Amino acid sequence: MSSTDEQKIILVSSDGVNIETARIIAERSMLIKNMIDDLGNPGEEPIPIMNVSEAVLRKVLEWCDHHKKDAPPEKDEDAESRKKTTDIEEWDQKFMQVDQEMLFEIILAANYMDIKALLDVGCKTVANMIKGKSPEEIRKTFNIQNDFTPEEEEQIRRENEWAEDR
Amino acid sequence: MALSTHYRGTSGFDILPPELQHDIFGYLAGDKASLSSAILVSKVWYNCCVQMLWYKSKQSMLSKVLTFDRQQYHASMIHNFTLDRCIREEVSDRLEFQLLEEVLFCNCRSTDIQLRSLLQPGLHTLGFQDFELHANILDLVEMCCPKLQSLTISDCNTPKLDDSRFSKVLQSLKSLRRLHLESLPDIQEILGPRIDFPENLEELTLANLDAFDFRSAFDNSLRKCTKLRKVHLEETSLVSANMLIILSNYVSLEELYINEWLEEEAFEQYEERCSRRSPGSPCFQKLRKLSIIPSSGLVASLLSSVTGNLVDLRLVVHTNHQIVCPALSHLPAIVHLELGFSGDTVFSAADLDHLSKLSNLESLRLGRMRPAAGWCDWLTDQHFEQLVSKLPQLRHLVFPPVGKVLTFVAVESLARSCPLLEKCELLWEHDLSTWHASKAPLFPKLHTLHFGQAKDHDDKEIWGFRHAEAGSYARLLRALAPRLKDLCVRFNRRLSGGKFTPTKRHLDVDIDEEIDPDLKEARMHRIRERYERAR
Repeated sequence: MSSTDEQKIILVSSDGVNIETARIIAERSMLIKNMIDDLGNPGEEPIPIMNVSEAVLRKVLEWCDHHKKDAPPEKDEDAESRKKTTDIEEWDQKFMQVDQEMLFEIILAANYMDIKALLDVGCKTVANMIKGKSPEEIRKTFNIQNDFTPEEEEQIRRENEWAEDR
Repeated sequence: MALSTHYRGTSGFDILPPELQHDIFGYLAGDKASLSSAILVSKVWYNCCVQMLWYKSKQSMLSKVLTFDRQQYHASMIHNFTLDRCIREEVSDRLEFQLLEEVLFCNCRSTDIQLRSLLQPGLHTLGFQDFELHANILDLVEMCCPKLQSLTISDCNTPKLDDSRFSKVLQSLKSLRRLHLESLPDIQEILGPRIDFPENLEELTLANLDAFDFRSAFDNSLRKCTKLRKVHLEETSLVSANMLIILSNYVSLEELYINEWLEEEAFEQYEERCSRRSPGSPCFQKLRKLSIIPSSGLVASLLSSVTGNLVDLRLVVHTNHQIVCPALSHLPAIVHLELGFSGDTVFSAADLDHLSKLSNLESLRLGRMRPAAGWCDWLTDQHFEQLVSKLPQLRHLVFPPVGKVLTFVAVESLARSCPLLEKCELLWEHDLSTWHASKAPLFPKLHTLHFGQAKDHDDKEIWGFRHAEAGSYARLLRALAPRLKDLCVRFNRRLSGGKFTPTKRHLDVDIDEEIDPDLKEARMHRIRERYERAR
């Protein structure tokens, strides 16, 4: 492991808490990697992560730590083919077993911190929560109100009935 | 009906920005059942998902939409459209398809108005299947589809088409990269005496064409298509030594699929001409995928001439000379191998030994046409273990029906040696009463498992016959393979009641419903509900 990897840096969460972590872990985030590259003096100044609270940031760093040795992000075409599957690694599945509020916060943080692989896992997790469910089950899962009139609902059902399966 | 007033609730999902919601819905693309649920959740969800649901659609789907305005609304979302057989009057031929990229005319008739609206400049993929291909349609294709990249014509009649008309159209399509011609009784009239495939062609499929009469004209045309990457020839009588030599010179050729009987003479000529090549000009320089079905004894000479780039090989061996498997061991880079054996071929322990040298294999599919009783009596769990222990990268294994000679010991050795296995077709007869759970899952990544037969210690079939322990066996399999989704018994006995002796059939077992009967009840309830609605 090179000395750069062992370097420590300090991140500051949106609620003002300093969190120390290894540079190699934090650099899974392209936002942080670019900030370090721009600042040029890693470790000297704390890096503010404006939109992410302490609890969420710690959770995101836990993911980054587990995946710190993963291969770099794939090319665009590979990313496209990867998108077709909603398979999630076992460790990531367990990692994502959190309450819905935290799940959506992780997705927002991954998006803000530019961690493509974590964003994919989060989106796949939500997609898997939708798959195979009836409209009512989906509404219940995400606490969504049905704002269709009965006539609208009936029309949409009739026009798209061909797509229903099982 | 206005759907423009969007309610924005306070659910967690709503805090995500639209682009992230779009990313999530993107994972549902192609899953029509989930999309059809999603559009009924709320107006926001409807607007996000309805375009994905209609991206690839058929005329028969549009016919369910009642008014012209609503048909036009949905037609505007379609990128890939199939005109299939439906009562044509139910779909207006005046619809406009602004986003259309791909069209397939399939077993249908269409009006001139409809043809003109569908054959539009933005089209990159066009297909005709089971269709009457008149000259005026070819004129429209030539005039209106300059960006066409892919053209498929299959099972079509071509009434009153002038000689060479089709060849001229092909020449006019400068962007054409992919051409698929299949089952065309008038192929000679369509192409004319002088075939002219576009020189920029990258993929060519010719299937079920009795084209023997213009083999030399075909060779001459092929000689100009130096950019070909994929060639697929099936039942065309076009394959000759000359053609193999032409193709072997193409530095761009990556995939070659030949499904027709090759004359031994062709191979001998090919071998003889290969031997005259200079060492600096190897055959099939970039070939990565080769499929020859059926292959003769001389296929070994073809394999020895192919360079080491080959990663995907499919052969059905029709010879009793055991020369194919030894030839394979000279191609250690192979990642995917499918090897079939005809009725007369012998499969031996030495063949397994040769296969075990292909340590990069990720997919190994061994099959046999018409498996005969006792054809693999020599096989033991140890032979099987010796093979799989050398194939640590294996993700997909198909092993043919071998009776009862293999046991759970073989299955355990497979799990030990091949931890990456995702798909397994172990097509012999399994006694699941000898299977037992272990501390850790045996197959952590396995999602597909097919058995030949699945029986208990009394030789009774477990699924399809209301076996009392069916649920317990399903739970055992889930414990051994936690990700298992696709469970199938390939040669299950057909339920009695027919007038014939019992035959075999595929039986797809819904493992979740076997474990939890409430799931089955819920599905039946949904079907009943839909039936009631339809009434």
